[in-house]
Order: sequence, then structure tokens, then C-alpha cells
Amino acid sequence: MLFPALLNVTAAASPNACETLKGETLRWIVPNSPGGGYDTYSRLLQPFLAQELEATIVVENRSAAGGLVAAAAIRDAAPDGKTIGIINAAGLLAARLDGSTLHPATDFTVLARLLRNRTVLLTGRESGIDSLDQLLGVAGRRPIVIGVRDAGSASIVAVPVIAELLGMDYVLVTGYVGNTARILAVVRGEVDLIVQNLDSTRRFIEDGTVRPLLQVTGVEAGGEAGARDPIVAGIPVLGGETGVAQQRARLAGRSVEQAKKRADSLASLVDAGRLVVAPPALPDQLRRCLEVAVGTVLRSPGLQAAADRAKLRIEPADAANARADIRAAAEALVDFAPLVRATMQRARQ
Amino acid sequence: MDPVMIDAALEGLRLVFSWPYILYPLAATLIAMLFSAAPGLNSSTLMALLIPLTYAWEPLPVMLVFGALVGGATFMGSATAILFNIPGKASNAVTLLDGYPMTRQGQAKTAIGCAAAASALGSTLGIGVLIAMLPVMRDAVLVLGPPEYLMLAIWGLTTLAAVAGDSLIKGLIAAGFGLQLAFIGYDPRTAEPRFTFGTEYLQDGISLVPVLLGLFALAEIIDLMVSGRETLSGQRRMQDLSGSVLEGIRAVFRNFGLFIRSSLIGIVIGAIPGIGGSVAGFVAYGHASQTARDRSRFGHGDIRGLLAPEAASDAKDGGALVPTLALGIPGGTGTAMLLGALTLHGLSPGRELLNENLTLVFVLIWSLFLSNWITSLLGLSLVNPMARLGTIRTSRLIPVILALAMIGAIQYRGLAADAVCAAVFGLLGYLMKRHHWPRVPLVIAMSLALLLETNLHLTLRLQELGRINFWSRPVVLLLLVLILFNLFLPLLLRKVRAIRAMRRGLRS
Repeated sequence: MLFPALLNVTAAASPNACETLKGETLRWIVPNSPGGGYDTYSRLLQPFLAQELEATIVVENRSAAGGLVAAAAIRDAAPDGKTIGIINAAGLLAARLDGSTLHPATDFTVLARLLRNRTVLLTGRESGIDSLDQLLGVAGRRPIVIGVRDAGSASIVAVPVIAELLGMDYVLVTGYVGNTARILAVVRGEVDLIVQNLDSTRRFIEDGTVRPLLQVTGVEAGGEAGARDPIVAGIPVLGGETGVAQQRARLAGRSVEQAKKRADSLASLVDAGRLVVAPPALPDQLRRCLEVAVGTVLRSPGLQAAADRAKLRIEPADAANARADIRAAAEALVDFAPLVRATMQRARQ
Repeated sequence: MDPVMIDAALEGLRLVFSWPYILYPLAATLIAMLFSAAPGLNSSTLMALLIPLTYAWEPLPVMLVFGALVGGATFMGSATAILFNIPGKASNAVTLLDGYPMTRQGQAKTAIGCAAAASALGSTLGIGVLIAMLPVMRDAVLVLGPPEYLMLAIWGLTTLAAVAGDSLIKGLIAAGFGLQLAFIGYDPRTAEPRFTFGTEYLQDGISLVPVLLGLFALAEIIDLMVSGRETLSGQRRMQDLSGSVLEGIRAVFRNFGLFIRSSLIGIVIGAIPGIGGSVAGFVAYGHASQTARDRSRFGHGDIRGLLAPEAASDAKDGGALVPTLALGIPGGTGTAMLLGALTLHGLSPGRELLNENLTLVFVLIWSLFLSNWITSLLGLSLVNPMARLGTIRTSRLIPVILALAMIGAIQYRGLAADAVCAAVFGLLGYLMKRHHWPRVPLVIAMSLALLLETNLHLTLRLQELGRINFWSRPVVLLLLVLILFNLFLPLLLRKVRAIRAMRRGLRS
């Protein structure tokens, strides 16, 4: 059940706390620029949440530093319920390896999870690489060139771990700021691969501009959902019992158990998801009001219909579930820290 | 042209001009005009506000409204730039360089007439190129990569020499300062903070809009207060104002070659994802002054300095739609908002839209076309009341201009600290003006810095890895020729003129 705790919260919610937000203007802070994935989700939610709270919601885009500036703006806002926003949990966790102190669970009041991220490895339509096997064949002859945003991005965490599990040598090209820059890079053939969120690249996969080669997920975590999604049907999965990580470990004579554990840990990290959050130390009554309002909106048929029309996935989870997943993701990150830090260092040279 | 495309184009045209659908672009344009008359507010902000209101709409009215908003109402931002030295948005900033001096010379009508004509015709050319490119635009977008973007940025920077004013050294220092300002914030490659001094405000980088409002609008207010000038135009009565709308329109046709070149610059730069209209305007301005025989009037009310950026800024809307429609990749902020709106309405720009909803694509294009013309024509009809503002006492205007500039600075990102930033740059702008330091190179360099920096890194890295061959790319070579032309032709011409003068002297 996705909202077990929410039922209790509903019962305990104080209508008076929500009364204080009626007629007010709330800031909804978005960690990327207008038109981006988070922005589109935010604008989808905006009218529904405004109606639920009987308030005006203004979307504010703070795109600098891969979402860190937006996250810091939410954390530092007054805990009066008038500032909420959306953060990328995996991105914030990754940034902690790079000196950031922001923690998605402890520095914010988590209100709900909008959806889990689903990360995929993509190549260009005319790259000459049609499958993961072909990619690994190419990797046997030369390093694979991978385009990423910058040396502090969440994909910097995924790349070295994936490469290690696949036994693939690679070089990074940093500086592709924005999803679109990376998509263009792989389509033009400047890089072989990019690591992207499936939801942000869905339309490019659908129209054949790019081709998914690998789902960075475990069977338990996202594989079932992935199997239901025709866009990634038949695309190999990294983690889980039958995942590519295990197969590659078996071939290379490495520990199969270890490979599975690492692949699943990576999946739990990159899947941590898009969270709806408010500043920390939000008074209990306000927190309950916002949790209920956000939860109600995320489960509403109206929002689901709008999301279906826009081909946007909504897979809500309550705050308790989201926090538990963040804790698991944070633990996974500890294992990867030395490898990721070395990669960040290399990317800056 | 493909018969399917012709049918779709005609059907799109019919739909846009049929009753009651025509009401949508008309209403959207009028609202956008009113909205964008306030600095800092523009049609992108309006699009953001309208997205949730249009959820229940069918795709056709959505295309009609958002098509009109993509390029709609840029002219109003130009009008405030010409009249008050206040750019409505970053892309209007370059308009004030020669537009406002024309107002001060009592030629506001000519300036507005020229801006309106250049805008309408520039956007028409942009749309024409967009339609012509529909069958091949996917390939055309992919021809341009980091090396081409890098060379475009360098080309833009080489125009600095032309706008440096009396002292090239001062111009270069100002440009260097502009680059330095743009480097404040996070390094786009390493994700490390630079020159932020631990402040949260600087982590976001310094936005161009408060810098522009400070350097030009606030600096002008200080100048007006210090100089004690009675009115902006120097005249108290309308009949004493010189110039006419017709004169402004004629200027576009008198400089038709410049108009075409500037529009093409706008289209090409518009097609580069993530690059705003301000870059197109500044590059076109630099090109206009670079290629002018007599460039002494630039920055002092030369109509060519108004025509070129206006044509480029509006032509770029057609260019920005090229990657948006071809690949679903936005060319700028306006098209990014359009993309978001279309996605939320279940329309996926890219192959699907082009193959399955070509008529809707043309509805979008014709709606943009109609909106640009309505804006310009309405703008022309408002010339007299707008020009009258130049005859109002500055003591009454200054508080209004100051309020508009401050609101514009804050409104752009919703940060009160941007008002402080604008004030600091206001003081700097006044000092630069007073001591004859050119402000334009600073702004050009600032607007080109990100394009230059990211693509320099990418080009070097991709060349190092053997993923590209810089020297075998035709567009790079073409841009290299243009850069060399910009750098050395003025020197060569000066030499030739000096030799000719010497010969004449010897003969006489």
C-alpha cells in the first residue's frame, strides 16, 4: 500500500493549519529551468494543489548548480508553509560526496514522493550500437565515451559503478548542461552514451531519436514497473536475480553476490526519486496539512488523467516511505564513496 | 514543396483566420502586449501563468494561444527601451543603445516606426525560413555542435571592436569585466563555485537583466537628475519633435541588405538550443556597426543600430522553433515554455507532431506570424501617445522609470537582491558613461560568456578524444572566415584609405 501512513495523517490533520494558508501565495521552487522535467511536473501539479489548498502557487525556477541552489533556497526558507518545492534526492545525495551538506531527509520536511527515478543508458539512433551486447563489444576495443552534465552530477555516481559492473572502460565528457544538450550530444555522435532519467527522455525514445540499452534498476525495485512500460520492454536490467551485473560477474569470475548487491544498491540510490519537500522544522500542524494536501492531489483522478495525457508518470509514496528509501540510498552511497570521489576528481582534471 | 505540406500550411492558415479561432491569437497578443509593457514581465512569464488555465482546452486553441505568445509582444519591450532606456527583457536591451539616443534627439517616432517594421519583417523572414526548412530541419539542427557554437561566440566577441567607442583598450577591459561577471556562480563543467565569496546570491550567478537595468536605465536616471534636463527629448511640445513613422519604416528598406543579414543572424542563433534572443540582438548590432562605412553615429542614435537587433530578435523566434519542432528541444526560454505547454496537452514536439499533426504545427507558425504583425501594427498606432512621453517633464518621469526599473529587476527572478544588484550597476553605469567607458562590450561579453566557456571546454575535449575534427567542419570554417573578416578587414580598409589619401595628397 502506497499510503499506509497517510491514512493516519488524514485522521490527525488539523484543518486550522490549512486555514492559515488559504488565500496565501505559496512559492513552489523547481530545481531546473522552465520546460525541463521537474518544471513540467510542477506545472502539472500547480493548479491541483492550488485548488486543494485554496491558495495561489507560484512556480519559481532556480536552476543553478544542478538543483543545489533550489534545494538550499527551500531549506533556508521560513518554515511557515509558504515555501515548498521539488528536489532530486539522488542528486542531493551525490552532491554530499562533493562537499555539499544538504541531506534530502534531514534538511527538509519530506511531504511525499512524486515518483521514483528510472535511470537508463541511452545511445544515439545512428551510433551503430543497437544493444548492450554490441556496446560491450565496442568497449572491448576502445573506451566508451560518456557525456555528463558536470563533475558533481548524479550521473557521476552511476557511471563508474555501472562501468565497474559491466567491466567497461570509459572516458567522461563533462559540460553538457541540461537534458537537451546531452540528448543532442549523443544524437550527433559526439559521445557514445548518456545516463538519463527515463521520464525526461521518453519522447526522444518514442520517436526513435535515442535508444535505451540498459535499465539501471533492480528487478524488485523497478523491473516490474519497467516490464509494464512498453518503452523499455526487453531492455536488460542491471540489478536483481537475473540482472546483467550478475551475468557479467559470472563471466569475469567475480563474486556474483557482490555484483548483485552493488547493482541493487546503485538502483536504490538512483531510484531515490523526486520528492515534494518543505523547509525543516515545519510546525506539526502545517506539516500534516501539507502532507495531506500533497497526498490527496497526487492520488486524485484529475491529476492522474492530466498526467496520462502528458505521458508523465506519477507513482506517489507517502513521506514515511520516501524517507525510508532515502535512508537506504544514503547507506548505498557510503559503499560507492571512494570510487565516486575518484571519478569526480578525474572529471575535474 | 511537398503537397502534403502545402495542404497542411493552407489548412493551418484557414484555421488561424477562421471565426471564432482568430479570437485566440488576437486576445493572446493583446494580453501579452499589456503584460510585457512592464519590464521583467514577458510572454514566457505569461505562458507559465496560462499553462494551468488551458488544461481543459483542445489542442487547436492551445496552439493558437501559445503560438501567439512565443514571439508576441517583444515589440513592447523595445518601445520601453526606446522611450525610457528600460529594456522589457534581455533581448530588448540592445535596442536601447541607439533607440534611446534617438528619443533624446526628438526622433522617437522614427525609432518606433523602424523597430516595428524591422520586427514584423524580421519575424516574417524567420517564419519563412522555418517553413522552408521543415523537411530538412532535423538534419540542419544536427549540423551545429560545440565547435560551431564556440565559433559563433568568438564571432560575437570580435564585434566588440566595433562597439568599443573611442578607445579599443577601454572596450576590451569592459568586455573582460563582462566575461568575469558571467563566470560568477557554478562552473558548468566542474560544478565548483567560483567567485561567490560564500554568498548564496552569487551561487546563482549574476543575471543579465538587473545588470542591464542598472547599467542603462538607472544610470540614465542618475544622469537625468545630475544634468537637470527638462524633458527626455529636449522638447516640450509634440509638434517640435522631428522624425516620422514613415521615415522609420523607410529606413528598413534603405538598409535592406543589413536587414536580411541581421535576420539571418537571428535565425541561426535562435536555432541554437539554450541561447537567448539577447545574443542574437547583440551579435547583429555588432555586425551592423562592423560593416558600416561610417560607424561614428553608433551608440548615438544611428538607425542601423536599432534596425539590426530588432530584425534579429524577432527573426530568432522562427529559428528557435526549428529545434523545438524538429527534435522537441527548445531554442530558448519562450520555446521551452511552449514545449512544456504542449507536453502537458499530450502533444509531443518532434517527429510525432510533424508526422501526425502537421496542420497543428502550421497553426502554431501562422499564429506566431499573426501575433508579430498585430503587435507591430498596434505599436505603430500608439506611436503618438508613446512619443508624447518624451515631452513630459523628467521630474515627473523619473519616479515612474525608477519604479519600473526596480520592479523589472526584482520580477525577473523573484529575488529582492537583484534590485540591489541593479542599483550597484546603476552607479557603475553612470560612472562609465561619465568617464567615457563603453558599456555595450561589457553586456555583449556577459551574454556570450556561457556559450563561449562551455563550448570551448567541450570542443577541446572532443577534439582530444578524436570524436570531432574541428578543421573539417564547413560551418566552422565559414565562421572562421567571418571572424578573420571582422578582425582584419577594418584594418585593411583603413590602410587602403590611408594609401589612397596619400596618393591624392601626392597628386595634388
